[in-house]
Formats: sequence, structure tokens, C-alpha cells
Amino acid sequence: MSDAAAIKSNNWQSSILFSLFVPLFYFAAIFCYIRWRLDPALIYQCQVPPFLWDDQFFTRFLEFPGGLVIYLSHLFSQFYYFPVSGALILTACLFFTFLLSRAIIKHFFPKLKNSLAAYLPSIFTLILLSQYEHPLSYTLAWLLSQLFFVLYLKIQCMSAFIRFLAFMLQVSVLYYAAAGFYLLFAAMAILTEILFKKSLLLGAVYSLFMLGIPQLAQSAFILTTKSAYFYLLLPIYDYRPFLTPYILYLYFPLLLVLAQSGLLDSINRFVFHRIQYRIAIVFLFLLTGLAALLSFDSTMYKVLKVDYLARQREWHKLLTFVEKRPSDDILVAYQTNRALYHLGRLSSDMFSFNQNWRVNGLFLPDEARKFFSIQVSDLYWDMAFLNESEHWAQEDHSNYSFGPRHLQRMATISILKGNTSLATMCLDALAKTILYRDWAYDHKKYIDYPELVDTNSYFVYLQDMQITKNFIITSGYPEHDMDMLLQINPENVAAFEYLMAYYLLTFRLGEFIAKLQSATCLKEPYFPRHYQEAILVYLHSTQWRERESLWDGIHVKTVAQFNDFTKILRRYNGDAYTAQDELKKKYGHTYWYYSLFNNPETRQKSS
Amino acid sequence: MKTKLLPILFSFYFTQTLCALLSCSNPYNISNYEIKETSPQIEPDYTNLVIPPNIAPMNFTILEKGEKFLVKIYVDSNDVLRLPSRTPRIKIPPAPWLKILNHNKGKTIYFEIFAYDGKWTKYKRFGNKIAPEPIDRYLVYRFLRPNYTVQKEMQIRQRDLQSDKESLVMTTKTIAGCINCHTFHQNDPDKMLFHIRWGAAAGTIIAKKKHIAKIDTRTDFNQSPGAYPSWHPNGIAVAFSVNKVQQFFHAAGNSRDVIDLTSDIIMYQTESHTVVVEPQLTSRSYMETFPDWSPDGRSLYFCRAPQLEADFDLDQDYRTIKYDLMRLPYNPDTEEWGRLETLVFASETGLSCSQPRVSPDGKFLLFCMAEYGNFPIFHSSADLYIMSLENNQIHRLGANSDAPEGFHSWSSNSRWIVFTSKRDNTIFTRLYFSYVDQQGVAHKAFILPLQEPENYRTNFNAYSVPELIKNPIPYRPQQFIDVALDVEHAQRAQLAPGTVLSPQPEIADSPSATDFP
Repeated sequence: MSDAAAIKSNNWQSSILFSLFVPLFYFAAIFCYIRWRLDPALIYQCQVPPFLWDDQFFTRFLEFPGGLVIYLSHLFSQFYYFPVSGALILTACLFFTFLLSRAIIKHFFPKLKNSLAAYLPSIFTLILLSQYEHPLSYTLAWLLSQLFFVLYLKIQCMSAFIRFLAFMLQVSVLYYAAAGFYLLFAAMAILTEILFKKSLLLGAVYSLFMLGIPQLAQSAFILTTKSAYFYLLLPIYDYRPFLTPYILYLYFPLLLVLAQSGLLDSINRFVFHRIQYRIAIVFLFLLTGLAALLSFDSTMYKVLKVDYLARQREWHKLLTFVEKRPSDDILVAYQTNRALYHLGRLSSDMFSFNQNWRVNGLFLPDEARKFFSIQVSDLYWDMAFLNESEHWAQEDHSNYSFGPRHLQRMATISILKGNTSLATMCLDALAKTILYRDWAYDHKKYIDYPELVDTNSYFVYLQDMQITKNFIITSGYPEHDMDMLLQINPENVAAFEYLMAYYLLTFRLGEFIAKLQSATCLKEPYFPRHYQEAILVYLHSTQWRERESLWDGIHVKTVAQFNDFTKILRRYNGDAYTAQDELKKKYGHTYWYYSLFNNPETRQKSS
Repeated sequence: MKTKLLPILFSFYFTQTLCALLSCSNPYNISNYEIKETSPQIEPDYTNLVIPPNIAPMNFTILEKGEKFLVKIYVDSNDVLRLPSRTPRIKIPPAPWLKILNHNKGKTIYFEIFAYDGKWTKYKRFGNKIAPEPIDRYLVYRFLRPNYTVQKEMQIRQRDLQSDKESLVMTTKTIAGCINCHTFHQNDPDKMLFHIRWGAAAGTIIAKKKHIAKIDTRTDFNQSPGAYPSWHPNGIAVAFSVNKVQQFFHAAGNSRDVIDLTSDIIMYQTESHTVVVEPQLTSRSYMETFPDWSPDGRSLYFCRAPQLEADFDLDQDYRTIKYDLMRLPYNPDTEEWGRLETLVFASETGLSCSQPRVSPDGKFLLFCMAEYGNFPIFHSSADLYIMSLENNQIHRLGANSDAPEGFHSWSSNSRWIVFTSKRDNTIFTRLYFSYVDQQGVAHKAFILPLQEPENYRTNFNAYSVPELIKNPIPYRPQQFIDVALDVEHAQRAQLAPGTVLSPQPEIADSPSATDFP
């Protein structure tokens, strides 16, 4: 075999390698990354995209430019719920990004069609998809604009008039389907005409049409000038890699400009050898790995994972996850406390977990409640406080229309309250979803046969817990609501434990003791661990020892530990901060430690 | 040979098919049927009504069992419309429907329903009377989610009641904020106003004679902007309430509630941009709200309750807030006010009055009464009442339900009312119409017809503040948005010269109070 033939054979093999096997392995690796690292179920948890198979729901998306892409985005995003199908969808998006990029590059730079240049847009898109808030609509709109450009390139050999007609049609369709992304297509078509076809006139006409179409749209749709031009194109979120979308948008236009300026001529003349292909492959994988590593939002991952586990009521897994991967996020603290309550550990283990958010970690503050409305509804659901749970489900409806979680909650509460018309509405809507259809059909039995409510033990519990006496809810003072719930129904364990936790976190031990003494829902011979610890702190600080009934509920082991705690403190002459390391090591999970280092009064006394 | 045979074969086939179609295979050719002496269940309930002669098809779903259905719609025993359907969803074609209504004003239109479930069953027919008087053709209303503390997009929509077409009047999608209180001058959309709350677009949008302006109605007297409005018939002055409100929630029963902590009524002059303060409408001892001008412009109706004390305890005292219904005479020529009179004493009825609306012919006053407060749509006790202004007799409307009713308005011919009701689902308000006859009797109410009535089942938005207008709104949403966002050209109202300010009640300083939402 001659040298020339050997080189040709090598190039052919390399070309096969790069055009077939590399993409195969590359996208298989990306699938694994999305499936096991990113976890599409968490994207679903973050976005909860609403979707109904319903004419009315669909019609809403026809009322504004970009609606079609958003509708498709909602439809596909449903499948994020299942990690495998979600990963397949996202990988497919990246694969199509690659295919379209390769087609564009092949048109302008045939020798680069299998090079890194064809993969770069996929890498940028991967960075964007790594953001849990990133709506699929952006990616779909970008893909659509590139697809239209590839189609436009296919008719380059036709007359200017045909190209003009095609452009008009494409821009109009693209504007309606993908809003601001029409600008990308139009800009690339204009550059192609001016730089490569040398048709200044056509370029000018295209530019006029590009600038004019949003003006026309403003007479047909309700749009401000800014949204008429840029809706969907400008990311609405603060992306961590905030430049990435713009790099992606400008990538091909810049490439076209560089190509025309002659800067890429040397690349076109370049002949790849096998070794260079191999280096390129390694570089491609390294670059993608680096992009994935840097763009992965581990903080968000933790928050969403905890919220996801709470949604699935996987309380054990939630606590294990939080123990392994602690977080300072308020939602993590909130869901951790809910998990502790559900496992019966709130009163005995809450100080083993981060309580830096104090009361806000129990109830969420007002500003967070508006955002995490369904999570607030969940808490009141735990407390069988149906009015407030319904109220926050409705807040969630205002926040995220047609969210399945609030529809489920509203349906269930309406069944329990006997409001069958509203329950039917919610179940009818859920029956039109992809994921909650079965749930809806299952719950319709409670409407058709109301007597079945009595066969559901949790429903029976909730009905038993119902309050008949009204009071005004004071959301700024949740302890008041808990107290009222308890006054009406002393057996409401959730309200009791949350109220006691509130007293502990705010160091209101007098009220804590009073409530403890009147409690009827404590059945064990000894008080829960934190209650014992708090009683000892209270008795110690008030020198109030004659309360024998309280002593009965305290285990001797707890008393011994308390004595040890105070002994350590005394050894450091009462200087809490010097003693902190040792105290943390032995008693970091106790109320004494929390109280000492978080209560200004105790700290003052100890010092 | 082949060419000659083809036409013959084709003719034979065609004739056979035609015969088959005409003779025996029509699945809706009903000769044998069982008769049921009960009326069929349909949704929405469009039975035994008085309906306008210009209303779009009142499509419905038959709730009776059946594989196929036939609906006959006729007047005076003449078959007019025959609607076979393979589903229980009955869609009436608009053109013949409107033709029947138009040609038979004052008569009764009958509906005969047949259902096939193995055999045909004919249900007892029901009829709806076609009123001689049309309803104003356009309806404007808010379309929004519950919006308790979270505010998302809300819209003001306009609906052509005759053609069923709907369009947007305004949306908050492109501006942050809340839009409310759209009001028209005597059912004429040429002069209209609405408010935008919060954000850069905040202000009162007033459109008159094709000109749109944004006004900040706050003055040294009223730190809150104008809220519930009423145009004076002269088309120049607008009476506004200015309110400090508090939203709160109940632990049992109806969840959401709102009360006013303070309120007054001011007069805004749209040409001079001045605010006139009348002592009888801004008393320190009372909260005045819900102004409504009589059609002759010589009386202002409103509601008032004793001003809350500084030590007002919401938990204990909210049920004690009860509003009287008031009338204040006014001379438009001299711009002088007369002597205030109380039309309905809350102390006598035990109920609280709100939202008075005088019929355009000046004969009736439609208003709400509820157990307490002035936000009836959150109170299941809220019902509509009508007062004859000739003899001050009051009666409760038969069109009420067990659920809250309120936010009502009149058509320009005083024969139709539209109001909101929660009777469907207790959360999301829907719009209901009722015919009011010459004696002031309101007939059975019916829900706003939709092309697809089943859409109500998955519609999680509230329809509220319905207002009937004679013509479509001549302004485009974009015009409103442009004016709303044009901060530079917004105008600020001024107090009329010579206005003396009195101190405001201390309760207004409550930290949880907000301006009218």
C-alpha cells in the first residue's frame, strides 16, 4: 500500500471513528451524567411543569408568540419525572444540537464537520441544562431556529426570489412558534446572504423584515416592545454561567463572520491525522467533563433532593441524605424538621440537625412562604389543619397554575369537606394530566361513593382532627395558631410538637413547661429527650426544684449527662466559647448546647 | 365497452346509496320511544329561564345515560332545530339559534331531549322564555387566579355575548401589578377607567374620547389611591372610595376574609384633576365606601359603618362591622350636597350592606347584604337584594344561592343583571345573569354560556367584577400598557383649592393594613 493510500485509509478510519463511534460514546456518557448525576426527577421537582391534554389548556399557548415552544416544553418536561425518560429527552436535545451544528458547519467548513466545533454548542447547551431552573423551551426554541437555518441552507442554490419567500415564511413561523429566537435565524440568514451570497439587497430586505415583524406582532398580540423582540431569547433566570446563553447564540454568527474574514482559512486547509483525532477526542471528553463539573449546581441539587424526598415521603432517606450532605438552606431545614416529625423524632432529635434557621426552619418566613407555597400547605396538612392547607394550596395555584400537587391537595381537602363540585373540578383536571391520571381516577370513587371516605384511615384521622371552632389565623405568629389548634383538639400531635419546638427554639421555657404539664398526647413514661433537656435547663436556671411531676419524666441518664455538661462548663470557668469544642463533641446534639450557643441570655449568664 | 359500463355502475351505486340514506338507516329517525315524566338533567342548568333574545347558543351537556342523543329545539310546536349527537355535549349552531330567538321574542323556546340507551327515551320538555328586551351585547370582567398573597397574571377580558368571542382588554403579563375596578360611564366604553396597583405601572387609567391618561389619585387627604369608582352622569366627575383594607384567614368555615380599617369617599374631577372632599362622605366617625351615582346624578348612594376604634380587636370584633345603606342628595348645577339619609339600617336588619348599584332607569337599587363586613364574595351569607326606589321596599332575589353572590351590574335597559356567584364550587366565582322584570322580580339565574360548557370543569380562574357595556371597548390593550408604563406623563391629582383637612383615624396605622388591593 502506498503512503498516500495509507493516509487516505487512516483518514477514512478516523472519519468513521469521529462521525459514528465518538458521538455514540459521547452521548452515551452524557446520558449517564444526566441520569445519575443531574437527575431529571429533580428538574421536574424544581419546575413542576403544568400540562393537560385539554383543548382549553392548549389554546392558552396559542395566544402569544413563543407559546407553541413553551407548550411542547411542558409536554416533554413531564417525562423528567422518570429519570430515564428525562435523561433520554435531554440527551436527545443535545444530540440534535450536535446534528444541526454539524450540518451548519459542514455547509460552511466541510473539513470541520466532525471536529470539536460541531460539539461546542452541545457543550454550551449541557451547561444550560445543568441549571435546574432552565426551562426546556429555551433549548427547543434554539433547536428550532437552527433547524430553520439548516433548511434555509438547503435552498441556497435556488433563486433569490425563492430564498426570499422561504425566509419570509420561516421567520413568520419561527416568530410565532419560538418568539425572540427568530432573531438568531434571521441574523444568520442575513449574514449568509451578505457574506457568502454577496446579496446586499436581500440582506437589507431581510433586516427590515426582521425588525418589522415584532411591530406587526404588537398589533396582533399583547406585547411590550421589549417582549415583542426578545421574549424567550433573554434568559429570565440568573444563570450561574450567565454568559453561556449569549455565547451559544453568538456562536454561529461569529463563526460565519470569522470564516468570511479569512481567519478560518488555515483550518480549512488543515489535514487531520489519526493522532490528532485521538487528541481531539480526549480533549472533547475533558472539555465536556469540565463543563459538566463546573456547571453542576450542587447546592441546588441538595435542596431539590431533600424536597423531592419529602414529596415522596421518604423520610428515612431524607434524614440520611441530610446527615451525609448537610446544607444551610432554609428549605432543607424545614423539610428535615418535617421528616423528624413524621419519624417521631422531632422532640428527641431535632438538635442533632442544623437549627440555625430557628423558628423559620419550622414554619418558613413570609417571604419564603410565597415561593414554597405547596410546602407550607404540606405542613398544615401534617397538622390536619385543612383550612390553612387549602389556603396555601390555592396560593400555590396562583403561583404555578395547574400544578399537580396543589390540585391533588385541593381535591383531597374538598373530598374531606364534602365540597364535591370543587373536588370534581380538580380530579377532572388531574385526569387530563399524563402522570396523575390514575390517581385522579382512583380518588373519584370518594365522590361517587362518599361512604368510602370512612374506609380510608388517614381520611378518618383528618376528619377526627377537624376543628369546629373558628379563630383568626395569624400567619406572622404561627405559635398562636398551634396553640389554638391544641386548645380545640389537645390530641393534635403535630401541632403540639411544632408548638413545643417553637418554644424550645425561642427559649420560651416557661410556656414550654406550662404546655408540657397540660399535655395529654404524651404517652411514654419519660418525656422525649429534648423535653427532658429543656426541663433541666429550666429547673437549673430557675432553681425551681419542687416540681416533682416533671422530675418523673426525666431519665437518670439525662440528669447525669446534664451534670457532666455543667461540669465541663465549670472546668472552663463557665467560659462557653473555650469549652465549645469539647461540648460540641459530647453534647452538640442536645438542647443544652443549642441553648448555650444560641440564646443570648444563657450566653450572657455563662460568661 | 368498459367506458359505457362505468357510468351505469356508478349511477346504480349512487342510487342505491341515496335510497339507503333516505329510507331506513337514519339512526335518529325515532318512531318508538319511552316517555319519562321527569325533566332531563343538563349542565349547566339552562332550564325554566328567561333568556335574552341576543344571547349566544346556550350549549349544554346532557347528564342522562345514553349512547346517542337527539335534541329538538322549537317554539310554538314547530320543529325548528333538530340536533342529533353521538355525545352528550350539545352544541347549538349559532345562526339558526339567534334567528329563533330574534323571531320569537316574548315567547317560550322549548327543548325536547331524547336519549338512546338500548331504546329511545323522551324526557319531559323544558322551556325558556325569550325576553323581549336584549342584554347589552358586551361583558367586561376580571379573569384571575385566587391571588391571596401571591399575585400572578390577571386579565380584564371582554366578551361578545352574542357571538361568544372573547378578547383581552388588559393584562398584567407584561407589567407587574394588579388590575381592578374597571368602570364605565353609563354602560358606554368610550369613557372608562380601571386601576393598576403596585409597580411602575401603578395608577388609575382613565380613557375618555379616545384619549388615555394615567392619574395618581393620591392627595394630601387620601394617602390611598381611589378604589371603588362611580362615574357621575355628567361624565366628568368620578366618586371614588379610598380604603385601607386588611386581609385575614379563618381557621374553620370560609377561609379568606377582608375588612376595611378606614375608608372615605372622594370626588375626582377628571378635567381639572382635582379631588373634592365632602365632610358627609369623609366623616371621622364613619367608614364610607361603595359610591354609586343615581342615573340623574342627583343622589349618591353608598355604604357606611362606624369607624373602627383604635383598640379594635380583629379576633373578637370583626363580626360587629356592619354597614348601613345611605343616600346623599346632590345638586349638579350648584354642586351642593343635601342632607344624608339612611335607607337601610344594619341595626334593624342585622345584616351589613354593600355594593349598591342603581338601575339605569332609576327605579331599583340592587345591593348585597351579608352577616358582616363589606366584602360579600367571601361570605357565604352574602345575597343580593333589590330595593324599589319608589317605595323603598326591599326583597331578597330569588336568583340567590347558598353560596356568596355579589359584584353585580345592570344592563343599560335595566332588564338584565349580571353578578358573580360561588355556587358552582365555592372557590372560583362564575358569572350569572338574571332577568329583572318591571316589578323588580329577578328570575332564575343562569351561568355565562360558553362554546364548550365543559370548560368550566377545568377552569381554575375566577370571573369577577362583571360590567355590561353597549359597544366593544375602543381601546387596545397595548395602548393601556403604553400609557401605564409612561411614568413621565402620569398626572397627579390635587386637592381642590380651599380644602381643609381633618386628622385621620388612628386605626389606619395598623401594620397589616394595605391600600385597596
